Amino acid sequence: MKIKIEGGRLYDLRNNLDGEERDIFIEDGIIVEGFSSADRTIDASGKAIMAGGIDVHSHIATYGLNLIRGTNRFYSPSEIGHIYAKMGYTHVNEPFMTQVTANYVHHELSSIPILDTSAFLVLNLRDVEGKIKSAKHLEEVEKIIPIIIAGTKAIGLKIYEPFVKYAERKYILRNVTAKKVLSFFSGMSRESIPRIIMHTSPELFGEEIENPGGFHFSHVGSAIGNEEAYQKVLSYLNAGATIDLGLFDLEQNLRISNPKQTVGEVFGRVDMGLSEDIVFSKGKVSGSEAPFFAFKLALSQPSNHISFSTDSPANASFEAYPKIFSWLMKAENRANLFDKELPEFEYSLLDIARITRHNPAYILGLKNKGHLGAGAEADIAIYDINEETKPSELEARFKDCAYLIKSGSIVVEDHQMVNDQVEKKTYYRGVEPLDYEPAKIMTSYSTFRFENFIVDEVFTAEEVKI
Amino acid sequence: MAKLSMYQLYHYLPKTDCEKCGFSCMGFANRLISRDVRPEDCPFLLEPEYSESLTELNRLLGPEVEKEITGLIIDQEKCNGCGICVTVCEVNMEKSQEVGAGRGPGFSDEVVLRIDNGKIKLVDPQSCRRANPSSHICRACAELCPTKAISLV
Amino acid sequence: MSEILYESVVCPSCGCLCDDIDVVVEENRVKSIRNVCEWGISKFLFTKKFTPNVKRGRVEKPMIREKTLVETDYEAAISRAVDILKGSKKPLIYGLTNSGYNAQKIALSIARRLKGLFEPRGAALLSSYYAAMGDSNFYVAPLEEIRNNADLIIYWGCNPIHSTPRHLARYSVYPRGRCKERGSQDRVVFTVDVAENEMGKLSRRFLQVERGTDFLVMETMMKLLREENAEDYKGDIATIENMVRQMTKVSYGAIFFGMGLSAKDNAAKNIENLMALVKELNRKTRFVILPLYDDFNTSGVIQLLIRELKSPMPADFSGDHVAKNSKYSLLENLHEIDAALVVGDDPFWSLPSEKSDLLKKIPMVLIDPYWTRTTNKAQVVFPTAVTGIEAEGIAYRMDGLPLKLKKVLESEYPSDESILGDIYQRLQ
Ligand code: SF4
Ligand code: SF4
Ligand code: SF4
Ligand code: SF4
Repeated sequence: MKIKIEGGRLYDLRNNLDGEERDIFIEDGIIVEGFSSADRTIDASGKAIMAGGIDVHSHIATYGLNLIRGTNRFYSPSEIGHIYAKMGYTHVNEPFMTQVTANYVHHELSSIPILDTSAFLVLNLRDVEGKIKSAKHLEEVEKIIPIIIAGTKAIGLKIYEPFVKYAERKYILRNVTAKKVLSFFSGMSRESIPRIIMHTSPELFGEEIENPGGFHFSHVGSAIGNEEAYQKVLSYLNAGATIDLGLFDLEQNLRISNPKQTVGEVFGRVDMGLSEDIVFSKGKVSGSEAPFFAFKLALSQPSNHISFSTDSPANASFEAYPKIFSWLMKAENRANLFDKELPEFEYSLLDIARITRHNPAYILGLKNKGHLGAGAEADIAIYDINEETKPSELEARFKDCAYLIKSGSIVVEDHQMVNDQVEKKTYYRGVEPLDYEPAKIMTSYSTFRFENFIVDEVFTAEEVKI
Repeated sequence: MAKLSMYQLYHYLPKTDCEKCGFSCMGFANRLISRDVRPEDCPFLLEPEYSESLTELNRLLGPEVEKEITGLIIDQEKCNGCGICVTVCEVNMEKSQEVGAGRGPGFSDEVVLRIDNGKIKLVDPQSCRRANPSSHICRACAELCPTKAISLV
Repeated sequence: MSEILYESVVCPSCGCLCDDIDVVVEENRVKSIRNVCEWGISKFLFTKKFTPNVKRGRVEKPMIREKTLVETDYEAAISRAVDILKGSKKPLIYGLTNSGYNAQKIALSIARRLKGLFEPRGAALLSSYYAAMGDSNFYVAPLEEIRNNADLIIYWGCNPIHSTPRHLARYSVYPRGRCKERGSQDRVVFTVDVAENEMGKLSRRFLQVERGTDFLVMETMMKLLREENAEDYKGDIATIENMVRQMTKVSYGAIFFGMGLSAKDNAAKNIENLMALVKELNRKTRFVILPLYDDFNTSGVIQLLIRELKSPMPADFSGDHVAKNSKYSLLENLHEIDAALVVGDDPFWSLPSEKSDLLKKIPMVLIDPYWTRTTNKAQVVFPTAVTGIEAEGIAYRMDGLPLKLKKVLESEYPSDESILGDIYQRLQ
C-alpha cells in the first residue's frame, strides 16, 4: 500500500528537521522520496511527526518476569505491544538475555504484537574467566563474542558484572577483578564489537575506567546517588561514552534489580548464574538521591550521547514515559518533584525525538530506523502536539498518539488501535563467515549441547541481520 | 537377568546332541558358561538358520566376557538408562568433553560406557580403569547405579 | 535407503527434554539411538513406557462413532468434530501436556472461541504451585544453575528414576557443575516420599511420610527453623530434625516436587506450605524450587497461559470475563460440561473413575496417536503424528526454557497442531 502523510511537522535530527512541514511517502514498508498517486492519504496538519520510538533498555522478556504476571504485577505480551504502540513506539530492546535464556527471551519477545525487538546478550564472564585475565587472549575472545552474539541472535554485548567473583573460598583464584575486566574490554576493537554496554552500578563508578569512550553505560540514573558520581558520568560523556538515563517515576512500585539496589519487599529471586540473583521487589524509592541526580543529568545537556530510558520496570514502568517526557519538556510539570532545584532546561520536541529515536537507533546499530529520510523503515508516530498544546496536556498526548504506522501498515488510526497483526522483526547482529567452532568453549558448563544453543527461527519473528 | 543358567543357553542350541563339538548340547551349554568354549565352536550355529540363536547367545554371554576384563557384571534388564554411570565414569569424562557437565557423550566420542538404545553398554571394556591393573581401583559406576544394573563380581 | 544420523535431537518424553539424543534412522525407522533413557526410547520406538519391546497400538484412520467406531476420511471426521464442538454450550478442552507449544496455543484459541473451558492435565497441583508463588514468593533458577551450584537436592513427592530418569544425571546430583566440580561428592540428596524406593539408596536421608500428609512435615520443618517446639509431630521427627539442620547449613538448596504432593486432594495445602518453607529457608540461605514435570510440555502450556491470560490457572471462558478458577481444577465441575476435546491424554486412565464416568456421558473428540482406554469412549478419533519424532514443535523444559523439537521420521498422519488448526478454521 502507498501511503502519503500530509501537512505534519517533522522532528528528525538526522535529516535536520525541527518542525518543518513535509509530506512523507510510504511504499512497501519503506519511506520513499515520493510518488504521484497514493492509496491512502493521512492528514497530519497541526500534528508532530517522529520516527517510531525505540526503547534501548526495557525488561519485557527477562527470564522470571513472566512468573509475576500471575498476580497482575506485570503486563501480558499483548498489553506490552499495545501500550508501546499507543505511545508511538515501534522497537523495544530487551537488555537481559543470557546465553541459556536466549531461546526463551526471543520466544517471549516474538509473542509481543506490533513491536520489532532485539536483545543484549549478557555474557557470563566465568565462561572466559581464564582468558580475560590477560590481554594476550584478547584476539581470541574478540573472535568468540561476535559468534556467540550471532548464535543467540543478540544485537549487542552487555556486561552485567564487570568482574568474576566466586562465593566459595576454594575458587578464589578464579576471581577476576573489575580492573582487569574493564581494561580487557577497553582494549577490544570497535570493528568486532561496536559498543559494549555496561550495567551501571555504584561499584562501577568506584573503578577507574581507562577508556570509557568505548562503552555505553546503561540506566546511569540508578547509580548516581551523589555529586561525585554525577561528575564522573559527565567525564565519561566528555570522553565519548554514551549513556541511557535511567530516569525515575517516584510512584513506581515494582522493581527488578540486583540485591544491593533492592527497594522494598523482595518477592522473587532468579538465579541467572551471576554472582548475585536477579531480585524482584515491591516498594517505592524513597530517601535516595539517585532520582534527583538522574533528572539533573537529563537536564544538563541533551546530546547525541544520551538516550532515554528508565530501566523499566526498575526505576519507572514504560507506561510512565509520557509523564516523564512532560517533565522533561516543561519545568512547571516537574516543579513539585524534588525539594531541590533542577536545571531550568526544557526539552524541545526535537530533543525528545533525539533521545527516543535518533540516539537509540545509533546505539543499537539500526541504520534504517530512528529517522524519516528516504530508505528508512516506515515506522512513524504522529502525535497531537503543536505550539498550542498546554504543558498539562503533554502527557496525555504522548500516551495516545494519533497515528502509528509500523513497517508501512497502519496500527493506530485516529487514536484507535486498528490492527495489531502487523509485520514484526527480530534484529540481530550477524557475523561473516559464521564458524561456530571457536565459540564452543562457551558451553562447557551448559546443559544444552552447543547445537541447541543457536537460536532457531521458530523462536524469533522475521529475522533481520544487521 | 540373574545368573546365566545352562538351560537358558541350551534353549538356543540345535539340541541334536551330534557331539561335533565334543560334548552333548547340554554339556556344550555348561562349558559356554564357564567360557571354555565359544558359541561359534558349534558348527551348526554358524549356519544361516541359526544366525538369530547365535546372536542371542553372544548377547547373553557378552557381558560375561566383559566381566572377565573388568569384573563388572551388567544386567541390562534392570537398567533404565538413567545415565548416572555414564556421567560419573572418569574415563568417560576424559574421553568426552560432553560428559562432565551431564550431557551424553557425542555420537563419535569413544567412551567406555554409553547408553545405547535405552540401556547401558560397556562399549570399550579395555579402557575401564578396572581393566588396567596399574590404575587405581574404580567402582564408581557400580556403586552409584540406582537400579543395581551394574555390580562387581 | 541409507542411514541418516540426526544428532542432538530433543527427547519428547518427560520434562527433562534431554537435548543430546543421537538417532540413526533407516527406512523411516529408528535403527539405533544413543543417550536416550528407557522411558525415552519407548517413545521413539512407539512402545509402552519402560517396556521397549511391546508396541503400542496406533490409531490408523480417523474414526467416528456410528454404533461402534468406524473408519472414515479426515474431512468427515473434522466435520463431525466441529459439529460436536459447535453444538456444545460449555465444551472442555483438556490434556495438551504432550503437545507442542503451537498446538497448545491453537487449542486455547478454540476454547476462547467456543466460550469453553481449558484445562491442562495435572492442573490441580500446578495451579496450587503458581497460586502459592503469586501469594508469597518465587525462587527459581534454570537447571544449569542448580547443577552449577546446588549442594543439597531434595526430591519431594516424586521418584525421578521413574518419572524423569535422566534428571539425576543431567541436572541435579551427578553432573559436575561450575562450583560443584566433584559432582555427587559435593552434594547431598534428600528424598521425601510415601514408600522407600530406589531413591533411598542414593539419598543421604530418606523421609517416609504418610500419603497426603506432607504439609505436616513442612509445618514441622518451619517450626524447627524458627526454633519452635515441634514435638506434636507424630512421625520420624529425628530424621526431620536432621534434615533441617543440614538444610540451613548448605549454601544452595534445590527442591523438586512431583505429583505425590497432590495425593488425597491435599495439593493446595501441601504446596502452600512447601512454598512457605522455601521462603523461610531463603532467609537463611539460598533455595530454589521447581516442579518435576513428567509430561514433556506441561511447562509450555503454563507459559502459554501466563502469556495469554496472565494466569496459569485453568481458564473458563464461559462468562464475560476469564474466570480465574484459582487453585481448583475445573474438573470439579465436570457435570456442567457438555462436550470435550481431548488432546494427547487418556483421561479414562489418568482421572479417578467418578470423574471419568461423567466424561462417558458427553460426546468427546480425541486426538491421540495411540489406542488408549479413552479411544473407545470417543465420538471422533483422530490419528496424529507424534510431536518431536514425526512432527516439529516447541517444548518448554521444566525450568521454563524452550527447545525446538525436531522431526526424525516421516509420518502419514497430520500433527495435532494441524488438526487443531483445521478445527479452529472451521469454527470461524
Ligand atoms: S556341536 Fe552343537 S549341535 Fe552338536 S552336540 Fe555340540 S552343541 Fe549340540
Ligand atoms: S569401573 Fe570406573 S572406569 Fe570402569 S566403567 Fe565403571 S566408572 Fe568407568
Ligand atoms: S547401569 Fe545403572 S546407572 Fe547406568 S544407566 Fe543403567 S540404571 Fe543408570
Ligand atoms: S529423561 Fe526424559 S527427556 Fe531425558 S531421555 Fe529420558 S525420557 Fe527423554
